[in-house]
Amino acid sequence: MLTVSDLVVAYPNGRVAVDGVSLQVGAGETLGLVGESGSGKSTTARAIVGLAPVRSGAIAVDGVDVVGARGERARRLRQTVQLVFQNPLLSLNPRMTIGQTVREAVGCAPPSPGLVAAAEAERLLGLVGLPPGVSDRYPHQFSGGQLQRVALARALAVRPQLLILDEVTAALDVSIQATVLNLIRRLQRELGLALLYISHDLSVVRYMASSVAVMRAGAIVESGPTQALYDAPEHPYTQALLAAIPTLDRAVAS
Amino acid sequence: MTGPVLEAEGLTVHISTPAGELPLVRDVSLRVEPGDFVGIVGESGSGKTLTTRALSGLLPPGARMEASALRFAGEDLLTLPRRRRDSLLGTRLAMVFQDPSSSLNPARRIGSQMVEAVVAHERLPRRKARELAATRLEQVRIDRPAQRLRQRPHELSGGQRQRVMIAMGLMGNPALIIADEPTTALDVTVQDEVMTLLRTLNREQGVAVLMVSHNIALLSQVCNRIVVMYAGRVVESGPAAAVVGRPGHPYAEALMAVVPDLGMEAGRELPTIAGAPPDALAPPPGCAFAPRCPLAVERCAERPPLVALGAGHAAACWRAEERSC
Repeated sequence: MLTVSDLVVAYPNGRVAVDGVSLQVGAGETLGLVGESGSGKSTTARAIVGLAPVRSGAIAVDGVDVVGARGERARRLRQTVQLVFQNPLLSLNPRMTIGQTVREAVGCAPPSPGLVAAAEAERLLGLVGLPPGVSDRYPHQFSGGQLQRVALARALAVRPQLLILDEVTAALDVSIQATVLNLIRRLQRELGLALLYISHDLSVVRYMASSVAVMRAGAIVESGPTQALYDAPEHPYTQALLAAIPTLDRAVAS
Repeated sequence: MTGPVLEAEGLTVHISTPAGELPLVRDVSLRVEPGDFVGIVGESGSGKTLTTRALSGLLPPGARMEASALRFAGEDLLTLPRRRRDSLLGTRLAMVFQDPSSSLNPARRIGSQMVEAVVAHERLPRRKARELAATRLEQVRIDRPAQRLRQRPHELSGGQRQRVMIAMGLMGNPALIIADEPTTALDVTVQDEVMTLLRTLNREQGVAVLMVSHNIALLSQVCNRIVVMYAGRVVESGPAAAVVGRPGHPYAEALMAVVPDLGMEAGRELPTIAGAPPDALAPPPGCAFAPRCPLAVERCAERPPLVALGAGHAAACWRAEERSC
């Protein structure tokens, strides 16, 4: 589904944000991309969808090279890959109702016979678990968890095959996080989505991803099947990330 | 100092809205003893942040508080004249907020922000205050403190900014640090650093800490007491080990179940808390958690009082006693 090889992203000021990253996500699979602020994981995501300047390397989506895609090729890329961000309040237009937002995205999908945008938007909002009748409300009238559902509905409107989820639960309460994670997994099962799941939280990634890549300072320092990597982390950085997760067990033991 | 650092009884906070006055915090009683590390846990909207704002005299406009008692550092905050109260809170109470980049002034140098409170409240000469600021930065393990004082917030990382906030709080020799989700905006390893710093200040210098978080796992690692809030009320409080090990309230138990755990089988459905917190405009008459509670019985239509379950451990649930034995 997605193959990234030796990706280098450098900004005009010469700063290299991603330095030789390779990764793969198979159809219907989930790769967890883990690292801290500034490690380059979000930049990698942005490069995949053409939002960051690629200096060298290759990115193939469904076998098609997408680096520097323009016109029809870029349109097809956006229909195949969708990105959901951490803060839905910033990524949703505050002056559009959520119905308008999702309808607009439906209009960007390849036309499908008999599809009515308004009805499709309603269906999508239902699919992500929002109650009926909310489509004429504005983003500020929703809680953070609900807004993240709206952002997911919008991303799904073009019927993508790969979702890139960039810290989508980092701003949510743990109780809300659990419901959003369950929703993402259900959507993945039902729609056969491939996921690139980006997070700094290894406990969440373990739950979401079948394999994991750990990034630091623009490079992948360790990767492998989730269980193996968690059972025997080799890189000190992975070990530090694992040790930093607050758990209830640790508390009871101490 | 003898007696509790902070003691609040019957604290209620009303917010005025177009629909009338809403009591968003109701009848909260709280005690922080010297050397305590107390955690308040609850979901967004549970009133935990508003409670700390009321305690620290930082309520937003439109909010009004009442309490039957409110004492801090041996003084009665309800009767203390305004100026003395501000001066007391400005020096003996340190606040650490969730987002250090929005609580520091981006246009001013770290040094001038750090010395502001002690210059205003303690009339410390500016030069002495800057020396103190450098010492405090060193104490929170910021390297090259003298140079940092001349920098502006954007030149520091998120973790460094949070440590600057803590150092700023230490300027006035605080008896209590109130930290509201101090690590939510930070990476896990930086979170670890900030928590270690708070714990060190607590253990080695005896500064009491009152910390608010939505993550009970995080609190359970540092706190000796935990207070669980739901829909503006305290539903459970007690020694951390008791609340975590033998929770009396089903909500406390639910909050623990939703934390993703490395020991949990991957790929299983994560436990969630069914439903949503009640509408503040129309809270249910009885136990506010009853509509979401798997253990709810008929009696829950009546609001349960806090009942003692053990030494300093109490929960507001009709079934707490039967569950804890």
